[in-house]
Amino acid sequence: MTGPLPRSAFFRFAVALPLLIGGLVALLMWPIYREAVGHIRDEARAAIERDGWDLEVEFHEHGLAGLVARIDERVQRELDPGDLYLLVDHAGRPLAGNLGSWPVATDALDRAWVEFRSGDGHVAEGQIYRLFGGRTLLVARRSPLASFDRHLGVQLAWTSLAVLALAALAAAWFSWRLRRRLRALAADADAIRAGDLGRRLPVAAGGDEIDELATRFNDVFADLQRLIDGMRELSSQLAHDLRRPLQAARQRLEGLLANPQPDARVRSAVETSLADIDQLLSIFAALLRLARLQAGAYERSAEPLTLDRVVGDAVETYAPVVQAAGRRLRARIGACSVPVDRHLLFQLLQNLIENALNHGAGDIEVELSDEARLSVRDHGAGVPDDLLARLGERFFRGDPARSSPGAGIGLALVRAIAVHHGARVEFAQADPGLRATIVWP
Amino acid sequence: MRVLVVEDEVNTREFVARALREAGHKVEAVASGRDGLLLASSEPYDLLVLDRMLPQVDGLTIVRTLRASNSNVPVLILSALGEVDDRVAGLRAGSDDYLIKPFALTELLARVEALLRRPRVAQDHGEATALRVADLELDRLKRLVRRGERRIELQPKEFALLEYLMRHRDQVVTRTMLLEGVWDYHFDPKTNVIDVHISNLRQKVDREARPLIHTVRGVGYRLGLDAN
Repeated sequence: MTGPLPRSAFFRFAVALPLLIGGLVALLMWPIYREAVGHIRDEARAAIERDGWDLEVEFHEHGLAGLVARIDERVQRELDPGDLYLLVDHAGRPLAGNLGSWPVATDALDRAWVEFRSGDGHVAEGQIYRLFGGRTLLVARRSPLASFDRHLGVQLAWTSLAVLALAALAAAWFSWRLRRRLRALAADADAIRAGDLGRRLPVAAGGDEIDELATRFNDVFADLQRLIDGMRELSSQLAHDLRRPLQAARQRLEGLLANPQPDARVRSAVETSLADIDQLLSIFAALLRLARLQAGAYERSAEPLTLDRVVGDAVETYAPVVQAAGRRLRARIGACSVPVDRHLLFQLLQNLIENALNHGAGDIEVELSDEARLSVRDHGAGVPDDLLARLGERFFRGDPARSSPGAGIGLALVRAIAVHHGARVEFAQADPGLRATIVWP
Repeated sequence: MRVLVVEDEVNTREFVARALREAGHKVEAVASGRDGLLLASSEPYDLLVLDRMLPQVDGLTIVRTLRASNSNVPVLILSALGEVDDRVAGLRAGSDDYLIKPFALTELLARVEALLRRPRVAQDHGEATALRVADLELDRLKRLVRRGERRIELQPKEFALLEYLMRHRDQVVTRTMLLEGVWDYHFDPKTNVIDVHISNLRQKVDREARPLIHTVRGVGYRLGLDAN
């Protein structure tokens, strides 16, 4: 919809429609024109034939002198300046008429029709009469076709132009309106997709095909909203239902610790249980977040931050942690002001860095290019090629024996967060080590 | 201090009330949001502990109603809703702190103490630019830290941590409180992020001097002259 004009279906329509209409008009006009031309020619020939017949009769009744007199009379009376006559003798010498010389081939047969250009440049049509004594008479008329062509041609040209212009205007207006409507619909659809779930496409009372389509889409959006609301409702309910018994368990365990002098073994068991509960909760929270992200039910953060700021903060946060583990965190952070959900992106970096810290070895490198390419790598053993593609699947673990609980969710969250931001994740062999790259399109 | 606890779930209500009483506070506890709102708007409490999901009137509505009537009593929300947006909604409604269930008792107590000791005036305006604990000085504007005569260079995060600890001097501060107070990110580290940063801070601040930053076992940290 927003592409260059020639790619727009509406633009093509606006060009094609006038062309098509122009073609149709031409197709319709051509036989009419042919018919009119034929008719005019028949009329003109009939008049010439009548005239020729009169003169032939005159010749038969009054001889050459009568014919010459009759021709002179006609020429002088100038009934019509378009009437042309020429009478020549057997040697081609003019005897009478208003044509200076014989304009056509001299060997024409009796009653043959000829076309020639008269002295003043007009096209004329005439008939040849072979008379007794080797004389030849040419009776011609300036052809009305030329002037007809001129007049009708101009008329037709204007009409066609008007039709074309009107068709072009109509097509352009129609396309423009349609294009505007569809653009508005697309903008609304984008807004809905961007999280304004309660919004609907406008449907006019008229109810044309576009309105019908918009209604269908609205139904789809309503289903989507129901699903997402359901997902939010479910995860809230789940959170509530699961946290309640855990809260109770926690309280009972803490109550045990509050006893004056608990047995050392009891204290240790209680503390471990408390830690287990907290671990369970954090896995559960990560799972819920993952589910909400994947369902598109995650509320967008109100205060986005630029990517380079978040990466900088994550590096600053984790550099001492990595150093405390006897390793180094090196970072190259370019200027990249892609706006991101700060909490989600920090979580993504946390998961990648902690993953490199817990499952990788050697230095950890964090790189952010100016073109929004974010990568985290370590220098450990990496992940076997056949498992690379499965990293980021929910609950998938590269190394079941060594991984800590919940590790399968971490990379899945990384992937879901990237997708949430319109980016994609690639895991690759860095030789040595694993490199995770987040690429913004 | 007088504390009102509004929580519909009976075990949690009694658990919280008992813990606060043992910490030396005068506690009243009710189960319904309506009773809670009624009490909160008629009695002068020093702190409200509200469950978010309550029958009749929910916790956030209570906070909004109180704030609308110009009450600035500190409010701590307890909630099973733990996503970022839930937390943001809670704080936006006017509550001062937001604790996600299930919580450790120590976490609750540390937050209650912090809220009770907080100056009642709106913080950001009346806050001193210089903080001082014993011979440790921190200038927020010049971003300078001094221990006695010795100038201390700190990383930005270490500076923010120290500032937070000094503003809560002599109080127990949990790791979660530090995460929420110092980092602008809602995150739950699987590694000992806070401990590492505190350890670095400690090496710079407490080196060759009487220790000011103390570890409170199983809870968090405390900055002050005394170890207890």
